[in-house]
Amino acid sequence: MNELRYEEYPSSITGRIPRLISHDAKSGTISISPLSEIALYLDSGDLMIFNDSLTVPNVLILGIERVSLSFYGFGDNGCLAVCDFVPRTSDLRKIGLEPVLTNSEVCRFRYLDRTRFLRTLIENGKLSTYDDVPFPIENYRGNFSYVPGSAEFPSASYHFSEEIVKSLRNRGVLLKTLTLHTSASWHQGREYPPFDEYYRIPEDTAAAITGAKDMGQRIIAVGTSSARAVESADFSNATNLEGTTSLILGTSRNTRILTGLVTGLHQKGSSHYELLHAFLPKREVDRISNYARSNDLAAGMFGDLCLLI
Amino acid sequence: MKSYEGKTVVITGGSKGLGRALAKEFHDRGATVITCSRNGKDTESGDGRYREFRCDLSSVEGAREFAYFLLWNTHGIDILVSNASDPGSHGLRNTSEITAEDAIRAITVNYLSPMEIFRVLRPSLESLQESLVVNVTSDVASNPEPGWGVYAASKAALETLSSLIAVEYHEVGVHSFTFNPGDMDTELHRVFLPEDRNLLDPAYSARKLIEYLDSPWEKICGSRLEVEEDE
Repeated sequence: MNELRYEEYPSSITGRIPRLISHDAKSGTISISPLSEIALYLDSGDLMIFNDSLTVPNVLILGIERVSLSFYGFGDNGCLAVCDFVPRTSDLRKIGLEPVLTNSEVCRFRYLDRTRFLRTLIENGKLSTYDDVPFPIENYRGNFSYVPGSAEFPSASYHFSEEIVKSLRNRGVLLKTLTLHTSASWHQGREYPPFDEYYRIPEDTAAAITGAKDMGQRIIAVGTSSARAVESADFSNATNLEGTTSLILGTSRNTRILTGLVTGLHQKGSSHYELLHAFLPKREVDRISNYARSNDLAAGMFGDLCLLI
Repeated sequence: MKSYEGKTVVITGGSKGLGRALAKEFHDRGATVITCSRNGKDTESGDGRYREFRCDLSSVEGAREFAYFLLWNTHGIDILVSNASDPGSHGLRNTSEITAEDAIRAITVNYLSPMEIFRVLRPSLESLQESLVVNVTSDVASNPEPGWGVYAASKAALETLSSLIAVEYHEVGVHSFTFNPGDMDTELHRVFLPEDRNLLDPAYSARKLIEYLDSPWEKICGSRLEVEEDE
């Protein structure tokens, strides 16, 4: 058995206590504890950066042809969608959208009536998940999620309960947020490469990152999306803290800002697993992976977490 | 007069009574005001600082929809006023005259929906240095009078919610208090006491509430503030 166990159910249903496998790069020590003890691995002044993007129920079925659209990239004036077929203009207008570009697998729309479109999403949208039947939407949200826009759940923050967040604050760990809206990477059984994704780093988060770097404190991203946003921004220039990114971290692209990471556990070969190689040599990544497997840690968005410090 | 320019104020039940008066007062002071009402339309004022969404808070799904609308349309919420209220019965009714079905509606509008809206909005409230949740209550919450039945009970539950928010979230800058606006000349009051005279103008109670907000929010957090009938 070479694969990690996959946790299918959210802990709000199972009551399962999430575990943490942590790896200390300096000593090479690997240990396992309940996630609730994560603060013990960190020091006062360390910085953790969470993604505040909220997952949107982004899949709509339109018209008598039942065209399935997976919306993402929600801007002020319009949005994008991965479509299995070209939707009818009349069906789009009914939900407040005007087609701008529909001749490729990614369609572009302009809002005719943004409120009507959002009402349709809120009332009828389905979550896009790997699971056939998603759990209630509240299971696809973390403690800091409140900026709607992600097409896929940035799940690393899922297990950070208010109690765990408080324990981190009490420890003196600085908690900051940024926004990165994930794109639709999975639609109608097809996997898509990550599209350009919108990100924004608020000024106070940027200041905290620069400050922690100057003081030699740890800078830890919670989740792949948070890590990608931090590594995409140019902190020497305050105007470059917002934009789109298609950056993928891994063996060939190490981190420049981040010293550590919190991430879910992923199967070998996945892009999330590849991310660990941006922080550690392959030998160490393999050690973590083997240790996690022999201790029965679970992969998946509701599974256990891994801390690299 | 304290300015609310750049502030976002959310008021449930903004189409009449105290909610409408509060919306006007906050708007006059420069705030961006967002309200919801059951029979309203999705509208926006010319200056872009007043918006109304059609939402029915007699179901928690309706409350959740309103909360998601708010997240889509705001960047941090400064003040949330849970004002929408349901009388729970057609006039004064003794306890055995109120069915559980009537009660469920009032408890949903007056207690469960404010709780659900707070739950969805909490990270948004927390994202600001300081924010405030105001829960509109009634005399009968703490002094149940005959016939006020489930309205009194649901407002008592709302007061408990308000106190809990105050103790659980003040550390992260989210403050909460209850506000008793007094006996106002509103549709809701007339459901119970159609003959009542000498009622307060909702605009008067609205201004009184806004006066309280001039105090540091952490000082009024956890308290129950009343309109003193001094005129």
